[in-house]
Amino acid sequence: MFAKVSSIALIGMEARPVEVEVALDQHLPDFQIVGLPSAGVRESRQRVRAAVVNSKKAWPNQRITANLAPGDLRKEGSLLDLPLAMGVLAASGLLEPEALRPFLFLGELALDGTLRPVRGAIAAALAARELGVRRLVLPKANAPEAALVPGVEVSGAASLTEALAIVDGTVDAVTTPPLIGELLARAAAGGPDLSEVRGQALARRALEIAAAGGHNLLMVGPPGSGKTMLARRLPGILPPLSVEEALEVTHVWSVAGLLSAGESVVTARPFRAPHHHASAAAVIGGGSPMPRPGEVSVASHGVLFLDEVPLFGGAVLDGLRQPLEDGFVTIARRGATVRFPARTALVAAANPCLCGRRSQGGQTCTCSAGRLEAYRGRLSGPLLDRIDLQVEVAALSEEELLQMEPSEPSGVVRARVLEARRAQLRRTESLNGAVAGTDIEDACCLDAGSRAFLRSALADQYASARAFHRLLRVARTIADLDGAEVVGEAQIAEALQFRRMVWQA
Amino acid sequence: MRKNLQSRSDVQKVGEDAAAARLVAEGWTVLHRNWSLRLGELDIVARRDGCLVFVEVKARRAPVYVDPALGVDWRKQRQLRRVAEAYLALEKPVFTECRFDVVGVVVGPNGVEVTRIEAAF
Repeated sequence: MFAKVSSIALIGMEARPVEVEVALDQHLPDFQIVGLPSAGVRESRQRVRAAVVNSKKAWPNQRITANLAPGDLRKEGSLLDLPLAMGVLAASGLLEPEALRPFLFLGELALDGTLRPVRGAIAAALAARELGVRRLVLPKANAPEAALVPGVEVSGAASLTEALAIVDGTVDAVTTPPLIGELLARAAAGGPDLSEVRGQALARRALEIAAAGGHNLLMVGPPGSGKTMLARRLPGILPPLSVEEALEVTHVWSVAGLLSAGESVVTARPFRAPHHHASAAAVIGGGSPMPRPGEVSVASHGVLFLDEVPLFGGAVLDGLRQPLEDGFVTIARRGATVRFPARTALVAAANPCLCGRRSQGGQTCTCSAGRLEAYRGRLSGPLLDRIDLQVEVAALSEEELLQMEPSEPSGVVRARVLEARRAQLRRTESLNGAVAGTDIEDACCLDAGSRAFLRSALADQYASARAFHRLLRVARTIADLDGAEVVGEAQIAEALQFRRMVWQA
Repeated sequence: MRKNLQSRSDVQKVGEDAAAARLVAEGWTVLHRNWSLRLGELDIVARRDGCLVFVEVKARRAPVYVDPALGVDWRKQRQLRRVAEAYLALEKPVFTECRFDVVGVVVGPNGVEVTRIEAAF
């Protein structure tokens, strides 16, 4: 007459344990759920009943009370369908309540009793391991991702009937953990190649530096000059995902509900390009009552591409500042404060002005000075401060388009990027783009000549300490690409090309 | 005008008799017929083993165009639950499970047609 089933509630990236208690008693038939269920969880009553009946199991004609403990944690979503169904069936005597003890269940039921995938299966597996629950039963489509977590036996069930068979031991559906290393190796390289980009030597160089040093990049150029084309080729010159990175990306994608059914691990670096009408909640993360990861988190260890960046909402752009700085997003809600990873490379693209014709030879810009100023002003100083590299992407003439030889393929560039990254990690254990201001000065080992050169280069314009450090970071990465131990005048000179002038002028 | 014209209450009576006969044939023991309070009435209360059933009978004269059982709307359901609760409190029956059935009866010139929805709500 009573049964207890273990399950979870998803809070950000984590799963908290939830006990589903089901009691039957002698009263008019009824089915109530208590324990702070959201309206969505209460809906699961109808699904659970239909799924049980359509799985050819008897629905108890008794008063059913289900309690979701702890009572002060708000439960959301449909993943409690399966534990509720198991609880009802155990309480009505169809299976031994004791038999459920070694299991943790989650999954959404369809009316015909099949199981639909849910968000956060990896988080559930991690929670199960922490709780000391040995076996996890979840929808078949979620099994491969959950099996990434060692120490938990994961069984994927296609339906309620199959879940019951797993508990009985009549079906042995333990998912073998995927071999992450092998999957990652097989997925290496792919996507559009850098050799398809004609000309644009400066922009391609900026892309390479961005990839090597983990710098954020702003490309400014007229429509059709190839900004988007370039950005799409950045993932292809980044090193392949490491196992830890792949696990983190997969975890975020699992929580965001982006993994396709049966996908075990994300093997390619994400490339996310939200439209400029995207809300702050969509880009930064948010939503109520339980926040979900935004594009900046989904793009972790990959590329977040913001095309037409000045047209994004002010809340979106300013909201990006903290995650770009810290590598994570913190979202506070009444019920919980959650943290999502956000270690992504930002690539922003913008037209030089609203009409798009400024700085293009032969054509004239029709924007008034006021309009131009307003347009440029949409990118705040603090945001621009977090973008180390700025480059102008000029439109090519027909002549250039037709004559250009195909440029360097991604593979060659990637090899240089890998080498430069290795040098950085040997020196500071982090990429140049993430090194603090004073540390970058030490890392550059500037000699007297270089210092003098820097001074004269910066003398004619206002340069803040931050702008100075930004310049040094880029110069350091260029030196790493060149294989130089010390940053010299040549690297500083090249770094000066990628300064803020492009946008501010 | 039809020859065997029956009043509404006659139709209901015929329907309830047919429903009770069906229950008995299936091995149920009818405990009460028309158990009523001011709040409402239970047409049939029956039991078989540990199962207690409250039966609501909806009878209609032929020809019918919709299932008579559809006459039990949510308001009627709520009323029946209240009466059943009162029944449990006053009669204190011993049972392990209990349910509500709705029996639709179509009374035609050549006999009755009985349909039953088990555990209707």
